[in-house]
Amino acid sequence: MKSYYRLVNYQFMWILKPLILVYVGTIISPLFLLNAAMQDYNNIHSRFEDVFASSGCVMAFAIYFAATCGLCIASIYAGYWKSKSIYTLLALPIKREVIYFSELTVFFICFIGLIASQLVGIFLGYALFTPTLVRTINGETYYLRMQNGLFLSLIRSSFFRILLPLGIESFVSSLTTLIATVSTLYYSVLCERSRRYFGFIPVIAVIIFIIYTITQRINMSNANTYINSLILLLCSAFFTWHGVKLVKRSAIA
Amino acid sequence: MSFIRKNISLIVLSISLTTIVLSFVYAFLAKDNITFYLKDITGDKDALSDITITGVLQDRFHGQHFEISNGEIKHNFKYYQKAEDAVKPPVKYANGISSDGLVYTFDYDFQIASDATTEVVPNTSTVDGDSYGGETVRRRTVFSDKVEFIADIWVRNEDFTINVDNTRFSIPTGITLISDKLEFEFEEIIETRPDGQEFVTHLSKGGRTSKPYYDSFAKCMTFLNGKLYFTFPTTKEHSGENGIFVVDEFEKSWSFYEWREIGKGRKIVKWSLNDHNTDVLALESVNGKLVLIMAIDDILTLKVYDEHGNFLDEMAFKEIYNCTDTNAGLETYVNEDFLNICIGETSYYGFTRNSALISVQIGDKIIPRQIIHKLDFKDEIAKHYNIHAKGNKVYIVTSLERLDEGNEYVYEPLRHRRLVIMVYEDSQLIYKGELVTDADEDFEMERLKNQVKNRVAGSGGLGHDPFLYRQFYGIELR
Repeated sequence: MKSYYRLVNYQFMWILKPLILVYVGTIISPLFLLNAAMQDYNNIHSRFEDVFASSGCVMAFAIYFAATCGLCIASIYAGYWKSKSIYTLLALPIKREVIYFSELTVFFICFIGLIASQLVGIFLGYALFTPTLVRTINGETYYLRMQNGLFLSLIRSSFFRILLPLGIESFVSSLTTLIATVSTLYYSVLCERSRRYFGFIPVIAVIIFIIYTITQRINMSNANTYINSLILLLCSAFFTWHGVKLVKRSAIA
Repeated sequence: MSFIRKNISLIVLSISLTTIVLSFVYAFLAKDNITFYLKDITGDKDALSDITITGVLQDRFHGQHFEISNGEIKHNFKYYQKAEDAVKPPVKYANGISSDGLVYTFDYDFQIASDATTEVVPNTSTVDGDSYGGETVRRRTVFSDKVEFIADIWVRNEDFTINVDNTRFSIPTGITLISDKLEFEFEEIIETRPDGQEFVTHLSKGGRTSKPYYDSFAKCMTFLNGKLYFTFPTTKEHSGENGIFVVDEFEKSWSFYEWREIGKGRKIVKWSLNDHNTDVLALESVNGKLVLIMAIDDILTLKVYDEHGNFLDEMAFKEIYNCTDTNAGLETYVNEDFLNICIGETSYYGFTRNSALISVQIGDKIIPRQIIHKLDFKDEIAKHYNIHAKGNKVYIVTSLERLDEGNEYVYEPLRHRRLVIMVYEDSQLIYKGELVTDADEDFEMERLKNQVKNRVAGSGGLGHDPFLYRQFYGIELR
């Protein structure tokens, strides 16, 4: 357990600096984008979730999400560059499963941090740039926020509903989507390193299924998303099982 | 520094998880942070002591389910994860009603009356012949001065993907429309079969359409003991004989042109229209009886029949007069053996103004309970959610929309609206209260946005999706 913990910290340190840049970008990008959007007179009385989406904040998150994926992938490929530290890693007197799970844990922490950063960005964005109502009371004009406007935005925006699901079924769906994203990402790298290119077939299938599940969530489909969650979990379990096997066999060396 | 390096993953994970958990805590605490209370306008909440009102204030994404019991209000947040989680508003079918998953749509056409004067337009004949000795079809235009109405009821499943075997009932009604000129145009189709047999069909093409108002047919259909009963919403200009019809059997039929008797049914009640003093407004089933709602000499009149068409009772409400053109503004609400009839003097887009309300108890006799000449609201239009009678009280839950000067006739889905509860006892208003919420802020935001857009971009239009705004649905009283 100690070696696992040390390995996680060691691997995490490698991507920490660029990761912090991604997190800072995820927090402050919405602020710049919302500020720019609120200069447009058309937006000053729009709903916050609409301004958030139309200002490009969701697109910015997609870019930071891709950057996080890139960092995670780079953290593995770094082992093959220059110092060839992958061989040192595989030669360590620890179980190969520990190597696999430590890297997977680092991936998880990266994405959980990204989600948290985005939530901070949303809360700050609402605090600083929320659209207002106009009220005239006793001849004076007041620019008031909607009652409970942030909460209403959180439950009305498809994007926010995926990040912060307030129902059990939605929560399970978001969680399994995250698990599947991380395990698929890691597995795809392992397949490439071990030259098992057939592994990309299930990887692509799962990516398509993740997109399908998210689309169902956005459309508030009546389908039972527990089934989707179960399928994603089973795929993740398969990728984990096969990934561990590949690492154990030194197929990635 | 060394501590941070050795525990960096745990530190990042802890901060991230704390942020996420705090976000959930915020959402949990904020879910009931909504304005939701009952404001007394007239009288005291004690008037609501013997009624429970339930409903939901919802948009597509969440609902605040509420219950007003003993004048106290409780509300409960529900997060909608799927479209089916939302309370569905009842589907209002144009000229149709639904029962047991089937939709019954009332249509009509007319045929040339047997004693009508007709005239064939010369040089309008066309022949679609078959050179191999098959069927020949000749067409020509015919004008008539008298037509007879045919009631035509179509059945389909609420779900369009499910087929229904027996889809149609059609019957000549005996109701006629007479003109002093040849104004009703028909296309006469004569089919000659190879064996020499001829079939003649008349397709109505024009002339005065009958008076019945938009959607008035739905009000003239009702179900009693599993059978469909209907009457025809005739006006004073009709002649002949109207009645109450019962449909015993629908028949499989797909052709739009078979104007003949289709299915099995009969007229169980008959009355003459030749005095030209009757307007038929609606037919309802209450407490196992059929209630015919009509205006005789412009006075609202109710007639009660049993399921076999035997007359039981009749009552005229002389206080409610001038209701000739009220069919479109007439709404009925039935609870137990009470029939509540709301009549608006003016109507547009489903809203009524200056409504009168009658509440009667239906048995073998009609017992009048409440007669309210004018409901207590002014400069507002009302869209009733529900009207419910209990004992000697009648409860009205309605949405009132303020009419600002100049927009009385403007269809404005974003107009300021409020839910108002009114209680009348012995025809006197004893309570009026408003369920105050901040739901109008959704509309207000949209109103402001539209104002800005009109000013800046000069763009009109609304793009109105009603499920993006919190509105009341599923209001029930018990």
